[in-house]
Amino acid sequence: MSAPKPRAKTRRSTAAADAPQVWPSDAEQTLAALRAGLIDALVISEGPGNSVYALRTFDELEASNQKLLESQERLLALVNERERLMQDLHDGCIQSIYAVGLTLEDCRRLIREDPQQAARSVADAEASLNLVIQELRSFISGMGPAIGIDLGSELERIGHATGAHVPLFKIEIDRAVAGALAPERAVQLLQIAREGISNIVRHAQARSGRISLRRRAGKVQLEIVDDGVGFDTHAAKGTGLGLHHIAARVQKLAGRLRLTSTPSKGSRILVEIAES
Amino acid sequence: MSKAPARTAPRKRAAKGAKYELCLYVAGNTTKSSAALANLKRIADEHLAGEYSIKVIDLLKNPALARGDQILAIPTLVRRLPSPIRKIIGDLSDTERVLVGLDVKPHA
Repeated sequence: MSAPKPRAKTRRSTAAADAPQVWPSDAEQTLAALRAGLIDALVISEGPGNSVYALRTFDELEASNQKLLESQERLLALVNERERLMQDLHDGCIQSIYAVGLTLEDCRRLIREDPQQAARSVADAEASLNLVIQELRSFISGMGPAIGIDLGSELERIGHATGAHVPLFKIEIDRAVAGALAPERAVQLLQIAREGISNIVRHAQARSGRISLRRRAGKVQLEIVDDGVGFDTHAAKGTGLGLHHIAARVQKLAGRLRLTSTPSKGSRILVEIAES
Repeated sequence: MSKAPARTAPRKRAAKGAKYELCLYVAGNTTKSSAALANLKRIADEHLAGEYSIKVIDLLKNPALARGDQILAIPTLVRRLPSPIRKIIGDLSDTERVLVGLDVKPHA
């Protein structure tokens, strides 16, 4: 009698044989699936007893977050736009109207002393008011202040404005520098100059001053100097909108602002920006 | 006298024609829910030889239904039959894992 043949080994390939001894718990599976990004909602129970299972899908959360971010961006854009409009109105139209007022105030004297000069001043005032009307129309139509200005001519015009309190300004404009500036940068510098000169006229009691636009060490410099009563720069910070607007415009230009003044020794505003 | 062999609880089987009774919990047409349904249909067609029934429960429409099978996450596939009940959580994109979870021998 021969020994029985050994049974051939067969490989059992059923899935049951390969199945893990213990199937992962729901919590383990959920955590693993969450990490692997294989689920898109968790079931949340609210309250005891007869709980209502509320679902929050990650798509919903992501969409909500995205909408929130977009709302925040729109709000920020609106706030910035409002700030810009306030600045432009304050520095542009309001300053221009104030300058016209000074000119007309001076006309009362000129009518008696020099009627021809008075007539010229009235014509200048009329021209300035027309410009203000143009600017306001631009605001209303949403275009903001007019672009494409001749910075050199505008600086000369505001520097040569006449009036009882207007000091005699020496104007030193490098036309090549003024012409090379991008329009939006030229507008910002003009608004800065308007605000600076307006502050001098209203507060400095200055007899003379200087407005200069030049290039130094690769930078464009706008300088406004006066020989007036000066002020305490530390006390002035945070008061009034004018200096705040000047600082905000310089920041927008990524430039540098130096404000120096000592009581009874005049003041100096120096703005330095890159050429482009 | 020999003892009678211990009797184990008989394995509950599905009704005839539906060996696998599957229930897929989804949340509307979200990305993973849609993927899970598509994957389940594919796996069932390829490996369950028509011996299955699939029920889809949309918990967005009726969240309270999650209580019955104690659903934690979406999508979840519940194998009700054959017992024991087993859950596979995720979008069922790993076919091999799904087959293991269902105790199904893969077709060649």
